[in-house]
Amino acid sequence: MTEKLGRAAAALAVAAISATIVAGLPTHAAAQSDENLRHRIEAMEQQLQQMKDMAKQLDALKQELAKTQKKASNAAKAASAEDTRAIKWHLAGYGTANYTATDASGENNSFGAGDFNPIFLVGYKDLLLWESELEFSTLTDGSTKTELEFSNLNLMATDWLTLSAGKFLSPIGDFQQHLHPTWINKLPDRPAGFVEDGGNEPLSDVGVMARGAFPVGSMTLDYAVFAGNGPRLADVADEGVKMEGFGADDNSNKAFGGRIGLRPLPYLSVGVSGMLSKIKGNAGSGGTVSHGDYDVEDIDAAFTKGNWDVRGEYIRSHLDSLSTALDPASAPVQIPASTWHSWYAQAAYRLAGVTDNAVLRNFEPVVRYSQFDVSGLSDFTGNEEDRVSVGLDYWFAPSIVAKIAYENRDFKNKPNEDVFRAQLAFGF
Amino acid sequence: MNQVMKQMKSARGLLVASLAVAVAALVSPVPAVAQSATASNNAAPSPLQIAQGAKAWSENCGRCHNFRDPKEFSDKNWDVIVTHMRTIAPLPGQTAREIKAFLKASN
Repeated sequence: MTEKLGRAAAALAVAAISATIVAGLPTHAAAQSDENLRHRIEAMEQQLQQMKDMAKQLDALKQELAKTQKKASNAAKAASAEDTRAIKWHLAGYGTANYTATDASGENNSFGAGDFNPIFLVGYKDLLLWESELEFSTLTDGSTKTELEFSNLNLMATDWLTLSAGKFLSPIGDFQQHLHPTWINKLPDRPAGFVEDGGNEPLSDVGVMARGAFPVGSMTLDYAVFAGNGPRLADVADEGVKMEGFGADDNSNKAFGGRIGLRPLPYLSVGVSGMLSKIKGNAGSGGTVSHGDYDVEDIDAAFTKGNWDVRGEYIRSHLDSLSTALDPASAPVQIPASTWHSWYAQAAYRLAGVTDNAVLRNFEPVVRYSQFDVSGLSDFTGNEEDRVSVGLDYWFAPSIVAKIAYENRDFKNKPNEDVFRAQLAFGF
Repeated sequence: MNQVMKQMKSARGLLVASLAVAVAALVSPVPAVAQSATASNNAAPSPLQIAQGAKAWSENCGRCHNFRDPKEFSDKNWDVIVTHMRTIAPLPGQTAREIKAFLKASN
């Protein structure tokens, strides 16, 4: 019995020792497992947190995407609506800044304020177009001058006929109608005689006009006929005849005019134009005034091929003898018949035709000769002039240009002038 | 130059000729106002119309000013601008529509 107990005790001891040994080994392994498990749990917690962060970011992105999709949808809808809308409008126009240096007696070198010419275009389908141009400029005394250059409604009656009513640019000739905006005109100023005061180029009129163009074989023929309030004598005689769209007529005799242009080749155009009108003498202190016929004839031509731009225009105008006051304080007198002649020829060449240099190709040298002659009343002859203009343009873009020019102005009735001009112009 | 002008027909003759041209245009068998109004800006232009517009653009738009990049303006802008040029250049209506098609396809 004792032996059995001893064996049992020995067995228990062995078992206990074995258990202790066995238990001792797993205790170390379990500790390592716990550590690994803790690391894994921490890693999983980090991953879970990252996933939560990513989910938040994803939600934010989804919200942004939804907003963007909504904006895109609205924009597409708006764009679609814009394209299909019956009434469409556009703000066009141009701005100009000038500098002039002259050796003329009594005149100073001066910067010119930035002139601003907004043009409002409002169209209804392909049927109607309203177009209005304003001109804002700063006068020498600092005040602002505002003028309505043109404002008219155009009805596209047929593919070949447009009917216009309102104030429109005169279709006489080519320069005033198409070339005078500063971003188009190759030189900083207008040709001699093609000016508002004292010149003989019709600028605008108030009335009605029919114009259009149609193909004739491989050529294109364009035309314009108009009836308007017509020109008037200036209050001051040396400013000659004023031809800038009067809002009311001073007589019942309307001016009638028109132009026919032919484009025999895509790069060649010629035009003849003219106007018939009657001018009423200015009232003065007593006496009587009379009417005189005032007629204008014009021929223009342009060659625009490749980098060449060559053009010219001639205007002849004639005023019959009439009775008029030469200034508001004097009595009317019978003035002799007078005739004005003005013309210019101009050539320009874009250097892109001779070089691919990124800078040089944007230069465009320009030369122009212009002449203004008057016969008849001596008061009208003050601006007679032969002018040579040489200029250089740099085109930053098709409608952004910097110009410099030298002019020699050979006046017949006052000292000659040498003038340097610089101009920046932006058409939009 | 004076001699040239002396040989020109009188201004009255010119006016008569212009009026005759205008009357001819008025009675021409081209779409009248109602049809012109329905000429949609939005009908998809054909490739031929776009090609004709490119040709018309190259032949007309450089006569007075530099060629403008089609990308300067949106379709809506070009609709109005080309209509303005149709009146002032002037351009035949068909030519103006072809130029619009080209500009709107190229911007």
